[in-house]
Amino acid sequence: MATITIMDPVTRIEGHMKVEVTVDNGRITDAHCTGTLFRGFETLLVGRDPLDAPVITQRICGVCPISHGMASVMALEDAVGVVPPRNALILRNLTLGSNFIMSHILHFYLLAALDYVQGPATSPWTPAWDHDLRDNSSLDAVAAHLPQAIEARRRAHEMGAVFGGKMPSSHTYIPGGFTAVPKAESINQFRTQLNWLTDFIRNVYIPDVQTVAGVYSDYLSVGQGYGNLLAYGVFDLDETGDNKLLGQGYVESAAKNPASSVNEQSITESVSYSWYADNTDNLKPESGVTQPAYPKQDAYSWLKSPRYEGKPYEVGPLARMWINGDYQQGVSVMDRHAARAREALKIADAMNGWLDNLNEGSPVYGGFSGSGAGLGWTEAPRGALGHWVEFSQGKINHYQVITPTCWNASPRDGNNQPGPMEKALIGATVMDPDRPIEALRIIHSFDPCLSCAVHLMRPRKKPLIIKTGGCR
Amino acid sequence: MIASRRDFLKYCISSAAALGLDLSVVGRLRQALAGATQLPTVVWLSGASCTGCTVSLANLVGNTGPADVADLLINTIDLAFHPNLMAAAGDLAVEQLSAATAGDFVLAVEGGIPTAFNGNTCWLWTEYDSSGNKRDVTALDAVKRLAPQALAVLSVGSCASFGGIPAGAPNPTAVSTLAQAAGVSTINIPGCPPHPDWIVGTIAKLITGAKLELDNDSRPVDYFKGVGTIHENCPRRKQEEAENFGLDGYCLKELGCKGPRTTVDCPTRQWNNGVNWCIGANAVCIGCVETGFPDKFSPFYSHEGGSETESDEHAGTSEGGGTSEHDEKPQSADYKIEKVEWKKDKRILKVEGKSDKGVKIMVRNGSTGKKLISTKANKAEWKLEIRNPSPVPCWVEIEVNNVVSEYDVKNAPGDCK
Repeated sequence: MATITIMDPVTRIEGHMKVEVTVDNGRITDAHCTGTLFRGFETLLVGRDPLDAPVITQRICGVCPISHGMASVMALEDAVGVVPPRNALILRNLTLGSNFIMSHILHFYLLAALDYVQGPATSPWTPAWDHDLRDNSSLDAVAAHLPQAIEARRRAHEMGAVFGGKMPSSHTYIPGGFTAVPKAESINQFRTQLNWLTDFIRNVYIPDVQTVAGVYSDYLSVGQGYGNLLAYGVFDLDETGDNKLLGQGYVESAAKNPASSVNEQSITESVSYSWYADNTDNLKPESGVTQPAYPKQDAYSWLKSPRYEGKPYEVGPLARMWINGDYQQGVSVMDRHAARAREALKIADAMNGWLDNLNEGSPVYGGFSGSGAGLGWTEAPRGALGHWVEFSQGKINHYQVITPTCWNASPRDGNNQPGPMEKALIGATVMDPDRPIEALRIIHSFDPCLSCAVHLMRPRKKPLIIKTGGCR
Repeated sequence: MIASRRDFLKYCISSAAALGLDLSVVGRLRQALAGATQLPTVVWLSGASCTGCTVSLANLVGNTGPADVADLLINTIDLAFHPNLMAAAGDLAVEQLSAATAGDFVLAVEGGIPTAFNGNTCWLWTEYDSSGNKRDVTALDAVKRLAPQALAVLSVGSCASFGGIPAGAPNPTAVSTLAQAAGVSTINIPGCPPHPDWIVGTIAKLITGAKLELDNDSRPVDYFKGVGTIHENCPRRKQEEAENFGLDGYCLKELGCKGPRTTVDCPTRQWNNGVNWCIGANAVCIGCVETGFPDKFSPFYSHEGGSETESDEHAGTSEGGGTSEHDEKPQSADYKIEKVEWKKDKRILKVEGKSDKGVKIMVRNGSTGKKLISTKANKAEWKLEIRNPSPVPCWVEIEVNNVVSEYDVKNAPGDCK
């Protein structure tokens, strides 16, 4: 007989989420993911000074604020055609890279690991759903690394603060450049932390992920989902915007020959199962409308459902590493963890080189003025992130954000296609329907960030129809 | 990583000054910890938050040196419920919460409390009634239920304390402060995010049962009002003012730095284990620990924006004339403002104070500059009522006998401006 289990709250993620799974004969036959928090950042940006956008959008998420700051300055610069000085590009990459490393380590050790290893015997790490914690001494060694991992996460933030001022949230990202200037002392300070962290990633984090993947090797064939992978790309290597450490692209069904460019025009957002008006279904971001409709028949999430060419796509470290040919071993729970760890090393190694390219005495700010509409596409640690902005006479007229977790944790669309996380859940076997640890492992492998799932709301007044997009 | 209470005590003694603890407090801490049979229970909820406060708190977690303190606290308090950190999920997590809140507990809340759609833009967990019917519990439900039962209620971060960025105009989800939503007094530890020391030091004081000295905004004076403004303590204060971004070592006032209007200890405490701070990276202060943030300080990059003229003048006087830099509100000398409060039921803004009889009093909306009332003190203790101001001000400028000061409006509504 089928039973429905509601996991609410889904803990050890960023933000608020509820997941409902139907279990029949020990197998998940249906899944619904619900984003349960909305704050309406886009509407509170309207009417403000464009320069305030990178500061305010960083408060969308305290785990990946720097990605929002990056997307925001890129969108503003795109609107007026400004390219910041080389030094600024490097300083932005170094600070963003620090945030990636912080987030990846945080995710594995503090959010995901407790699904596989026994944590300290005290709250908040006990109690847990421990019925499938496997008895293996190598796992104890992973658990023993928790204190060092907590130090590593903190050090990554300290590294980011060298040029970012403070973490989380840095006000050094400004359209036209960066505020901090590189000096020999700060470069050395940064490099000392980076060397320590690179060591940790290479000798502790990656081996620990391999250990867990070895003991739980069945999870190399759990939570595969669609295998549709998409990335916008991140870490510009020069002023053209075309060369990035991790480039853009997409593939269907885990194919090994990714298309190398993502077409903005192929993105639509479905609202069939979201609390938004039905007549706003399947619009492109550039002509999209966000009109809340709560309550609404059959709707179950505040997230819209972004689709590429009408299909659901998974975003995140595995998508980036796959599309760039760095990791193509498979799409599963453990492959997501493995790709995330290897990406941390790839970024750390690249950062070491970027430090050498900083030029003491060269400018970090090149000026910024004008009006226009622009698009800022980058990546958050958990996947593709886009900001759209339009402003004139020093005021923002429109702002739109599409976040990675909107792609991954989206509800069904008008064609009844489940979102990528829902798809990954369906078909998984479950030992104990009341304690579906297997579902939790699948959800955590995506590193969901629900606070990022922002859309526009306007309560206490009649619903406001705001034209979204209109950029480029 | 599990440290003993003795270690924690040792840490607090060695860092007493840094945490703002006096030695008598440490003595009480010793007593409290020695006598406790059970660790104090802390329940941490997230409202309309970004998790930045938790991430910032974690920046004190480590296994060497003073960075041990949050780790020690986590193991010295019983953090029974924390959605981002706890191992338990779903029903097991909700059971943990019920058990923890059945006894004595301290409630810490990160994020403001949305009230639009009856709070349905923020669900925290699912619960079941005796017949097995399920119900989504909103953050609004949760804090109304739990805050009155708690031994103490902490608003962690600017959103829970004052509404913060999600409550910025037009406050899209009608975010309310924790105190307003739950109808209780809170200890406010603002900041976007707050520094981990501010959180940890306040919790340490609470554990001892020591009285916390709070300022008018319910913030611990040790970290906020008591330390003076960022500008007063800024190492760049005497430097030439930068006229453009990306230049090292200059005062950032001309670029819009809100240091002159922000009272907190960032210049001396520094961030991320002493590595840096906003101004150290040539980035302006945005006033993130103050009431009315962000709107009171936005645009962040305008020295004309955010109505900071008065404070600039004040700082200028201090520099030139050598008057007291810490006497931000000249209350004792000429006049004293007793009350600036919004009465929601009557839609009246009450302003009460003391001064010489007959002096001129003018009240302006701090954000818009709109004059709300202009009158003369009819007696030495006067009471003014401003009916139905539109918009209701978040803060006001009060001019008495040609001396201007700013006051936040107590109980200002979510849509104040």
